[in-house]
Amino acid sequence: MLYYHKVINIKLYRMLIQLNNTQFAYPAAPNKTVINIDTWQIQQGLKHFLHGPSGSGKTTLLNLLTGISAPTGGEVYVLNEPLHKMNRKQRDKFRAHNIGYIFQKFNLIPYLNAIDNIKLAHYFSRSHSKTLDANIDDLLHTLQIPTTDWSRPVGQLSVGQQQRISIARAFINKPNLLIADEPTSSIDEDAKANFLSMLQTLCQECNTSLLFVSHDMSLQNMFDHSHSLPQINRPKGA
Amino acid sequence: MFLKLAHKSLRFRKNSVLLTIFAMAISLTVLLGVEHIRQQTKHSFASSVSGIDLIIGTRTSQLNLLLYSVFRIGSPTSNISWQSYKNIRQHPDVRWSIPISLGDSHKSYRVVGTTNDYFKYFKFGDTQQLAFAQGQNFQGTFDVVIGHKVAQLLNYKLGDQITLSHGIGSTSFVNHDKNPFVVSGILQPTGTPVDQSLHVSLAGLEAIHATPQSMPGTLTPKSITAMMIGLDSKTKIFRFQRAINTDPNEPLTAILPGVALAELWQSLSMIEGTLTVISSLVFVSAAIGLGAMLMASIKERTQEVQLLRMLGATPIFIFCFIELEALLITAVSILIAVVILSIAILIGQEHLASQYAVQTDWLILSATSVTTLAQVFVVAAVCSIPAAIVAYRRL
Repeated sequence: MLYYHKVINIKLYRMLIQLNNTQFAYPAAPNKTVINIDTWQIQQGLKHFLHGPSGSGKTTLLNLLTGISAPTGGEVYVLNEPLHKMNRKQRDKFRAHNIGYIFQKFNLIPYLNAIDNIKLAHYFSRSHSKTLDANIDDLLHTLQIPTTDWSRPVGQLSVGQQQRISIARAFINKPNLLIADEPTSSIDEDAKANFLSMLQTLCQECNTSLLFVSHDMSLQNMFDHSHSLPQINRPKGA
Repeated sequence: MFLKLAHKSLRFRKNSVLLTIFAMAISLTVLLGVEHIRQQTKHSFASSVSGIDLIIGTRTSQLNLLLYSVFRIGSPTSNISWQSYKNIRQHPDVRWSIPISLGDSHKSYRVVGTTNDYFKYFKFGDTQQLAFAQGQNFQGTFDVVIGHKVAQLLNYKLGDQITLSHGIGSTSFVNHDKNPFVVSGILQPTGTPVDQSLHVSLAGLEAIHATPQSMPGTLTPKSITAMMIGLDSKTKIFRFQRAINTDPNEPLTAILPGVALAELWQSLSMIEGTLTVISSLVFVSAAIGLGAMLMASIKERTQEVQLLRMLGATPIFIFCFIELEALLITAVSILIAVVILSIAILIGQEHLASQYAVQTDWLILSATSVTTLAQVFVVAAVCSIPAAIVAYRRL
């Protein structure tokens, strides 16, 4: 009876991210601990909002969560996988398989067209979907990209369109976690609302957890949870 | 996908890439050109004479004798007497002999006075005999047998009349126009100086030089320039050579063509080596330029590399991506260089052959140049390593 209860518990609290005593310092400044987080846990299946001023360690934290960097101390669990125990190659593989990522800008290779950009993300995931072309069509239609723009180099498209293609690219591998790093700061107000609603709809459809990073506090009530980075992270050292 | 990415990326930065390709193509043209001409020269040198045991001329250096008797370059210091020629020819160890008499020309092509034995015993390449494409050897005093190039370039046919000039310039003040020669034979191409020669009989040569005072009918020359001989046994070559070199009657030199050819090539190897080094350095500097161009591009492409990494590209992928770009640039440059060089050789072939007696084939991709190209790829890849490492270390 007790055992049964425990299993339920684990199911209820499947963690999206779990950090314990996580520390990170750049090799160039080993005494300056940029990331110093005692404990931080967020739940899977929800939409999270993370805010913090620039310089609060956002980019560094995201690099740890995606496995681009390895922590210098402590534990990093993403989707219950211990990233701190993996080597670089395993982390690269984990990222390609599980995480979709949208940058503030430069989300797409400018000299490839929309379709090739999406195919590139699929190529790195090493999963070979037979319905790839159909999936790309669906995504681009859902994101309201005119068919005529599909095969133009994305460098020639508007910023708003590029950001929407980035969503398509991020979703092609049906990631478990989507990280969006200030994705709306380069587009105007109307496009912003449109962008957010498309993002949230796709997260719902693909059952993808969302970690949305922004300094724009007006957006926070569109999310299930809001987290403040300065409250979580206590950097130390000169 | 990998190749497509690299290819599109290069096209995206086509200005700097084109400039790099241009620099590489020029340097590769020089490198391959030098390499090609070196090989061809070596080959035509080595195959210009064979099957001849000794070449005999007046007392001179072994190189000089080889150059004027075989390559028809330069001039003999003096001749050998008809008497010495007769003595050697009649020596019991001598199986055959070819007299050679130089000094006249026709439209800057050298004229060789000789006998019909020339067509019988002179060998080139892998002991190949001279063969007639048309006609036959000398039948009368004023018959001339012309080399393949002479026939081709001056557009001569059998039966055409030719006037010889005294000396070897194309504008001679003394033309032997009272005694025209008639083309009796045209030789097949050999790829040797024979192609650029006209051959007449010794009697014919004597006849055009005869002054009105000299007795007509006695067309025996007083001297010849050199002679080539074959002995009845190879083992006698050295003894015979020493005997001629120490002949008390006349100061003569006998050389072994193979040894002299090797010495000639040896004396050119300094130039050969220098040319190779210079063209290699030109190429290496272009390859370093390629590395610098890639390195500069990495700085602009930080975000691109970051994005690829985020999509799941491994650092090795990034490294290979930059290297692949370098190799694509190299491949395109090689292609352009080969085309430029082939066209250049096709255009310059005749000039090289007539002016420098160097036979060139416009098909430049031989086994050795494939090795050179492999080395080119290696150098290009090595020069791009710093850029690839910088890209690899981003993030």
